[in-house]
Amino acid sequence: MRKLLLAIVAALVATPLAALAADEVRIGVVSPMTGPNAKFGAMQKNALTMAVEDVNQAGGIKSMGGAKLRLVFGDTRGEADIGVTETERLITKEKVHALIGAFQSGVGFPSSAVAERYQVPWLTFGTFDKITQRGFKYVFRAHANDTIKARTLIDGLTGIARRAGGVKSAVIFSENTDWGKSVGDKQKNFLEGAGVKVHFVEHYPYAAPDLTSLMVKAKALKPELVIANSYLGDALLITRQMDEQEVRPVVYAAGGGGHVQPDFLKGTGKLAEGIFAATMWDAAVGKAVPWIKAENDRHVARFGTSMTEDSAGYYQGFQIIVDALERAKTSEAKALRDAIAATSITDINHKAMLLPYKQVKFDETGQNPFATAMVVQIQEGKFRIVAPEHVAEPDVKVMWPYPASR
Amino acid sequence: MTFLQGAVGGLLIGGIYALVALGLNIVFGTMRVINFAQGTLLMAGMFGVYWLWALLGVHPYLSPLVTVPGLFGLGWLIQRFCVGPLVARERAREPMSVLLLTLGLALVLENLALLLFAADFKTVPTDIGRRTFKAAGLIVSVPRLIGLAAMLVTGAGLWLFFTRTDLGRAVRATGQDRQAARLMGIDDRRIYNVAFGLGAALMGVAAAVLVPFFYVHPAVGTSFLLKAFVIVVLGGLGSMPGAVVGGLLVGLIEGVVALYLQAAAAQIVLFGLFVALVFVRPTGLLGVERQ
Repeated sequence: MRKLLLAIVAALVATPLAALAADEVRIGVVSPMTGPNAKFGAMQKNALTMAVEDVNQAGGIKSMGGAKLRLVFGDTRGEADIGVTETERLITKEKVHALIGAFQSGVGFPSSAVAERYQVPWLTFGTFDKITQRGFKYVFRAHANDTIKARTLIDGLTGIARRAGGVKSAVIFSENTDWGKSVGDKQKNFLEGAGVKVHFVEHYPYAAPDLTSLMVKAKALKPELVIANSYLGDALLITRQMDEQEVRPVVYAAGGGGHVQPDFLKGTGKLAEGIFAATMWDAAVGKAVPWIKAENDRHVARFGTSMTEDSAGYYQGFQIIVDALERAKTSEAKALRDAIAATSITDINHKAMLLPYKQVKFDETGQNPFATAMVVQIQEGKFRIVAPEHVAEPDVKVMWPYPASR
Repeated sequence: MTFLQGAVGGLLIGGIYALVALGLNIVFGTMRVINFAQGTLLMAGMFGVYWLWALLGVHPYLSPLVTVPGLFGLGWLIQRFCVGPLVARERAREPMSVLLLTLGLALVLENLALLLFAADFKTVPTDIGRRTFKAAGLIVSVPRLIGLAAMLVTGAGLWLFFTRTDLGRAVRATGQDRQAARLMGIDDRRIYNVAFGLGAALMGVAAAVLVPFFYVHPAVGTSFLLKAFVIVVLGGLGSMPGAVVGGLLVGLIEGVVALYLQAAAAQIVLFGLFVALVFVRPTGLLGVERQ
């Protein structure tokens, strides 16, 4: 009798647990939710929240009997070591089936190695080339890396410059973590390849309270081109201190990151006008792809701002996981990993095409060889696509030189 | 010329560093507690400045009328109901648990700010924010110069307070020897409340001068706090002039070194010097040996 009772109790307890486990797929999101980069984390969370609600309301993962998705957030605070322990926690305690992260390349580089060690698929947001160049099997990147972004920026700038009179010399300011260092050096190489003299690539701490000396150094060299690879606070500081210290380049450009955030426009006003930036996504891509416009309009209505390159990138990573789950019919790690590796999306109306490419697929390193980037310019408080030529908005006239320099 | 321009830039931001360090030092000098929440109190002050401007249109430079008493009250309450009871229970002179408590407070306040105000980078556009003038060929940022002046005035005021008033002397006496001060009839717990309140109130001044040329964000205090630790040890733990000299010196070193090395390397030089100084002169530049 007692045994029977125990068995019944055990069955009662076990059934809902087992049912729950089968019904839910957990996706870990590794992001800076607090700390200096918390704004980025908040934007990423917004875009993902919208995406996950859509999938669940539409009936979950159909091939898995309508399994629902759940996001589990891990806060990196923008620090590599915390990113690593949070990734470990998401995998071992929360038992996530796949991960997306970690925004800052300096955090994502070591954190993705944890995912590889535990063999849990990791969809990268982060442009540091080496993230996908370590022979890993579980780490994927659907979007552009630093090389692609840097080449796009420099090709775009030099192309525009040729038509406008050319630039001969440059300085580069780069925040001093993996992303800034890597993208800064690549920009330097491409610039030198295009015959532009690069005086220096200077690394600064991104939470620095003051960058006067950096401006003084740059000013003495009278560069025609200034490139900044910054997060948000430092993007604000650099833009204002350039003005204060009378650094007057013909062209002011940015590698992405903070310069393409809405808060940057609010904080710099007129000084932002005419800044060029490399980015992987902008609301303007919706002009050519109707569903992207609709999706972004929905985001604007709900959260008050457009999506950003990073939040769109997280969204894309999420959709790739959803696509792979449908094909794998299971959330088991190896099968899911193989399904992601076999991804091949060419339909522009597929949600993984929020960053629109010819194709989303992964080469043997886990990088999407079809990923591209573009160059935008800030005009009247909006980002307008100006390069490369085949994606540039036809009705946009390039602002030249940087108006604040006049 | 570039050397002087770098030095001027460094000295100007050094004024802000010194203000934060002064706040840290008042608390440490009196209570022997390193207040890890100092940076978040600065953040709280900056949000105060921001909201006063955003909701009521108060110019940042008038905000101390509200934020200084407000932060004094907040500091007082934190000490009275949070730090104080723990200090009373701890026997050690430099209680570790209190240090952890302030660290916890910092995390709570920062996350509270994230919850309430989101992670937006807020800025206050003022008429003065980007104004500069040229003196002897050097570019001087007006709001930063005002920051430096505010620090010097505040420092002088504090000096008068600590040397000329009974309350100020009582604070110093408590810092020097708590037991003896008690025997002289000083209510040390009240003094602690005053010291913590003062340390917080100074962040109201720092916030007012910082906001016009900086940004407001829940994590904004962190980088200033780190500098303040270095400054306090460099200038001498508990020494007010030390905090002022240390603040200016740290700004100056950063500004000048960054001219010749990478900006990131300037931090290495700074912290290297700091470690060397701790070896050679553990009491700091202007600190006094205590038993």
